[in-house]
Amino acid sequence: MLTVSNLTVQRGKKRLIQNLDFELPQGSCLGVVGPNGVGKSSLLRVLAGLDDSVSGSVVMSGTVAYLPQDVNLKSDLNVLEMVLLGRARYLKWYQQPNSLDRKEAEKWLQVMSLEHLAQSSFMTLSGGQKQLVLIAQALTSECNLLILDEPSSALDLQNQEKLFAILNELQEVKSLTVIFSTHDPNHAFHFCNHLVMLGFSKHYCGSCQQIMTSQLLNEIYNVNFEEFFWNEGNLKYFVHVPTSLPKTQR
Amino acid sequence: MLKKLGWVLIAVTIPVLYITSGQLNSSVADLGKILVNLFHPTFELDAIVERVILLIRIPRALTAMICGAGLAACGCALQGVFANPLIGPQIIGVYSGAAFGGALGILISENSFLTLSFAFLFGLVAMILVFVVARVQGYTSRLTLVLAGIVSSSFFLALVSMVKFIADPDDKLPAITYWLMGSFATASYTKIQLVGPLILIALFALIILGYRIDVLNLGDDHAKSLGLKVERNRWSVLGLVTVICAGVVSVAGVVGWVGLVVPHIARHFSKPNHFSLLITSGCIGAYYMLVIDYLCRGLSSMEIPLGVITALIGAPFFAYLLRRRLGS
Repeated sequence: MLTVSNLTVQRGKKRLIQNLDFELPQGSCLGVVGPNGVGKSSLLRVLAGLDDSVSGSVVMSGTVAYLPQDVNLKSDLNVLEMVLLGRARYLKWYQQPNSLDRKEAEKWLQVMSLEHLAQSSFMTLSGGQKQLVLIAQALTSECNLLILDEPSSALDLQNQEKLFAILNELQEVKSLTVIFSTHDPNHAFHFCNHLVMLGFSKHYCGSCQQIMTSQLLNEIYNVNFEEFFWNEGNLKYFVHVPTSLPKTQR
Repeated sequence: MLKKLGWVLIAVTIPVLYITSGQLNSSVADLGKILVNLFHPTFELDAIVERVILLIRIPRALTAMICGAGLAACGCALQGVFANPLIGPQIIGVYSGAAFGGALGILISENSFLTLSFAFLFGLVAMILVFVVARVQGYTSRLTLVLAGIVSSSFFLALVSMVKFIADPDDKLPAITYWLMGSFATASYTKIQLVGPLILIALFALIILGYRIDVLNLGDDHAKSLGLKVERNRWSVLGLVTVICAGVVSVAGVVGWVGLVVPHIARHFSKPNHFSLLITSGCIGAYYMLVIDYLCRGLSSMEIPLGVITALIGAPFFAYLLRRRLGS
């Protein structure tokens, strides 16, 4: 699906990531974690084909859709029209979306449980709804690879759960490949099978279960993470425990 | 149903009023008779009335409507592509280029068709200048485009001043100044034949590109990620806008404000997608221009320049719309 070899990414003149190699099979999910400014967004933009890399290659089969970090998009369109824009790839310059395109858009709105909002104005939606509409738009473009830049950063906990449940479902139903960046190691740990951990001096790639450890998180973020087990030790969570004690102890 | 009937009534009444009233008054019946005579000579008519209506007012009305529709659609398309409601056709520099071409044409010759061709040609030249300035390493951002538009605009406005400076103050200078303020007084069938089809074809193509303007409106990265060739589509829209603007300036001189104001009116009546919005803007623009030109002809015994009335009405109206929009 996606093969990245010897990739070097820079922003302006600053070199961010050097010699990154990984492979991603179809239907898998890759998490990208790392502190601010380490190059997560830059990496995702290169993978999405929006920016060029300095060296190395990104080879992929199929089409890619990219959702930026800031979905505070201003558009007067209604939700259905917004989702219909996903068909742009398939329409010649003189064509307008027809009833088949409309059906495709409605199908994905239904999958995202947004069909009741089809005629609402996009601007009036909440941040979480906007994000789901844009995912529906990406799916309407029949993408095989969906890249999301910090999709959970603007969402409350319930919407975060909903988003990841939907992404998981899409992976299974449509064998969609998903790449997302996040600041929450638990999201990466529980929803991804592959992981890229970016630090300022080095990076780690591999299976999520293998490389996601509290030691590595501590090294990369330079804060204290503890492992916490739940459900008779079957579920592992990472908890951030600040080294400086809180002002009031309970 | 009743509402639709009302719109049809307005759509018919405005042009009929425009054509029948003026310094030389004629009745609606006269217009009817003239139209019937076109197909089958039946009625006896005053030759002067017939000539005024057929050779002056009807071509003038057609020119005004075509130009109004074109400018309004241009404004709408540009506001969509730049995702900025404060942008009008004057921003991309074509206006100033065409203005220079027209002024130069008047300076070097009496021939009005030379003026027309020069205006059109220099409109295109101004756009090419914008293209050269704005495109950096094969890519144009929206910001550099606007800046390049300002550069091109200022450059050609300076050239216009230069032409005015060297023009004969008794003869050429008033002609240039008057032409720059815009007017449909010199409209003729020949001019419509020359420029009308170009404007209408470009307008039609713009409407078809409405869906792509919606995608461009999302921003470059988003549009690119949806598989749209951003550069190619944006320059196509800008090219069509250039053809329309250069065409309008070449027949009517510099007419500001229409492209900025009308899309805002259209948003109240249309669905928000650009396909509908461009059609609505075009229709409203056509009638808006007709009303404006009617005022130019009728407000005083002397004809008031078009640019004066469009700005006098457009500016306060735009301020009102803007406040209302911000208020909601």
